[in-house]
Amino acid sequence: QSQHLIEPAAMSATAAGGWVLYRDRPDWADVTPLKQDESERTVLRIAYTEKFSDVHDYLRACMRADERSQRTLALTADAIELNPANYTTWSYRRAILASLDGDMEAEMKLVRGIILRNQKNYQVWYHRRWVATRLSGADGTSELELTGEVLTEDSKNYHAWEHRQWAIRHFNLWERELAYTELLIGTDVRNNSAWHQRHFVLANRNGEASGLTPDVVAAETEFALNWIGQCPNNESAWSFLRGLHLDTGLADCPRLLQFCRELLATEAGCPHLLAFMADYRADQLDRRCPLAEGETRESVATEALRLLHLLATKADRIRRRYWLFVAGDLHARHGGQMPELQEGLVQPELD
Amino acid sequence: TDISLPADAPKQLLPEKHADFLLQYCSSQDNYEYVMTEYLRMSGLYWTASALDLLGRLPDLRQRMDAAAFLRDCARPDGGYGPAPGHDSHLLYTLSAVQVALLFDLRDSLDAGAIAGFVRGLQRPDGSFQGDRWGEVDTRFSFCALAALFLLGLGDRLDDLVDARAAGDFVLTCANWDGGFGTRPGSESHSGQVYCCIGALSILGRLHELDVDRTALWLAERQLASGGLNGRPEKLPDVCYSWWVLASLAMLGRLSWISGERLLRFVCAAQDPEAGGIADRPGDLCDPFHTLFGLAGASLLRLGGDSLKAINPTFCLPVDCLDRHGLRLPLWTGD
Repeated sequence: QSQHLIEPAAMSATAAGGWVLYRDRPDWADVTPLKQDESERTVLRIAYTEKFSDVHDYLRACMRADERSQRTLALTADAIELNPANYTTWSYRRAILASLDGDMEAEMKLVRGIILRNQKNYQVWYHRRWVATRLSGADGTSELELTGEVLTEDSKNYHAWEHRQWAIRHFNLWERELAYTELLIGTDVRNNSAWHQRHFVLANRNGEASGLTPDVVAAETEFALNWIGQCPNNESAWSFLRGLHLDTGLADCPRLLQFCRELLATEAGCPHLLAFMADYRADQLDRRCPLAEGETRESVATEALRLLHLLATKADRIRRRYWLFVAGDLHARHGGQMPELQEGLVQPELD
Repeated sequence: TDISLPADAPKQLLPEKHADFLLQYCSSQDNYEYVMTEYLRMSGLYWTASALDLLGRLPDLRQRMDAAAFLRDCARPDGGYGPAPGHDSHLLYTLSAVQVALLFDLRDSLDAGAIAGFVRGLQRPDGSFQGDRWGEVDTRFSFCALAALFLLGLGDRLDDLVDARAAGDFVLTCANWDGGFGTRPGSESHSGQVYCCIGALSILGRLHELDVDRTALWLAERQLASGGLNGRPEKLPDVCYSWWVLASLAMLGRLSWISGERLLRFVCAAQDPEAGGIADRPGDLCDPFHTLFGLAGASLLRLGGDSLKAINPTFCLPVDCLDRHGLRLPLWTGD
C-alpha cells in the first residue's frame, strides 16, 4: 500500500505541451472548483502541485454535482494520469462510462497504457476487468498479450498473474497456458508464480474433475524432477512436486525416493531435499506402507530422525525449532533412534 | 534471493526516534507524497496512531488533530467510510476508521448499525466480500469485514449480521496446496493474504479446520538468512512481512518456528538512525506503514523491552486498547 513518490520536475502552466489549468479554460467557466479545505495554502508551491490541485478541485466539484459528460470523462483521465491509485476517481469514471454508454474499445486502449506505466496498481487491473467484461466480441487473447507483456518486465507481478487466471477462466483459454508456464520456468526456474500457475492449470482445466490424473502426475513428476536436478535448492519446484502427490501420498511413488537418494550423493546439504526425504519416510510410516527389502519401521524412523537432525543442526538451522518439533513428534508416534540432539540445542542462535 | 545487512546498520531498536518520525511525518501536510496518498489517508492515520500508541506516544498525536472531525468527514451515507473527505466508501477504510475510533476512544461516535449494514451489503452469495459497490473480491476484504464487525463489539452476533459460515467457507477455498492463501481461489500464496485469511478464520473460530502445521511451515519458510521475511518464495525480505507472517504464526500458536532474534536484527537494520522511522529493508526510505509493522513485529516477539506495549496479532492494535473497549478474542492454543 505504501509508495515512495518522487516529485516530478516543476512544470509551468504554459510550458511545452501547452497545459492550461482548468480554472483558465472558458468551457469550464460554469463550474466552481471545490477545494479540499478553505485554509490558506503555503506560499511556496511548485507549479506541478498547482496543476494537481487545479485538476482535483474541478474533479471534486464535478463529483459533487455528479456531472456525467464527455468533458468530465476527460477530466477523470487527467486526474488518473496524476494519481492512478485514487480509486474514487476510477469509480467516478466508471459511473460516467456507464451513463454515456462509453466506447469500450477506446477504454481498453487507455487502460492498457496506464497499466504499462503502473503495473502494481490494484485499481487499473480491476478497471481493465470491468471494461473487458463489457467489450462485446472479446475473446480474451488481448488479456493474455497484455499480461504477457507485463510479465516479461516483471515475471512475478501478482496482479498480472491474477488477471491472467481470470482471463483464462472467463474466456476458457486453458490450452496454451501450460506451455507458457514452461517458458517462464525455463527463463527463471525460481519463479514461484510460474510454478504455481502450472499447478493451477493442471488442477483446474478439466472443470470440476481434478486434472491431476495418474498419467498427468507421472509426467509432471518427471518435469519437476528434471528441474530439481538442474537446480536443487529451489523451493518452488519442490513445492510443486509435493502438490502433485498431495492426495495420494509421497510414498505411493517410489520413483521419488530413488531420485532423492541419487541426489543426496551430491547435495547432502540441500534443506529441501532432506526435508522431502524425511516427509517421504514419515508418509511411509503414517500410512503403514509396505517397505523395501531390508527395511523395518524402526530403520525408516531412524533415517527420518537423522535427516531431521541434520536439518536442525546444519542444513536449516534458522528453523531448528520446527525441525526439533517434527522430530519429537515423529519419534513419539513411530519410535526410531533419536540422534544426540543436545548439540542442536546449545548452538548459539546467531552464526 | 536475499539481502545482506550492512555492517554499520543499527542493532538496537530506537523507539524515541520513531515517535519523532511519525509525528513529524503527519505535520508535513503540503508535501507531495502526503497529497498523493490522500486516497489512503484513513489507513495512514491508523498506521501512525497505532505505532505511536505502541510507543506510548499517542497523546502527542491526539493533541495535534481532531480525529473526531476527520472521522465524521469521512463517513459516507451508505454507512461505510472513505479514506478522506469526498472519497467513496470502501471496506479497507471502514476497518481503518473503526481502528482509529478505538485508538482515539471515539467508538461511541460510530454508528455500528450503519457500518454493519454497509458490510453486510458487500457480501456475495459465495461468502466472499467485495471491497466496494464495484465488486472487486479479495480475501483482504473478508478480513476487513469480519474485523470491523468484531471491533464494533458485534463479535458474538456475526451469524445475525452476515453469512458467517459462507464467509469462512470462502476463505477456506482460497487455501493452496502449499499451505498458503491467496487473494481469490487459485491465486498464489502470499504472506499478506495469509494474514487476512488466518485473521478471518481466527475471528470465526475455525482455525482448527486448517492443516495448521502445513500453513505454519509455509510461513516459517518465509524467513531468509538475513533474518527478514518475504511474501512469497524467492522474493526479497520486507519489514511489513514481519507483521503478516509473525501475526499469522502467533494466531496459529507457532511463533517459535521462526528465529525471533534474527528477525529483530533485520528490523533494527531497516531503521533510520537519524530521522527515525523504519523502511521495507535496510537503506530504503522510511514510512509510517513499515514503521508500524516493524514495531508490531518486535512487540509480538517481546523483544522490544519496555519501550513497546503488547500487541494483539489478529487486529494489530495494542492489547490495552482492546481491553479498554471490552473486546476479547481468545487466542487459539494451536492444539
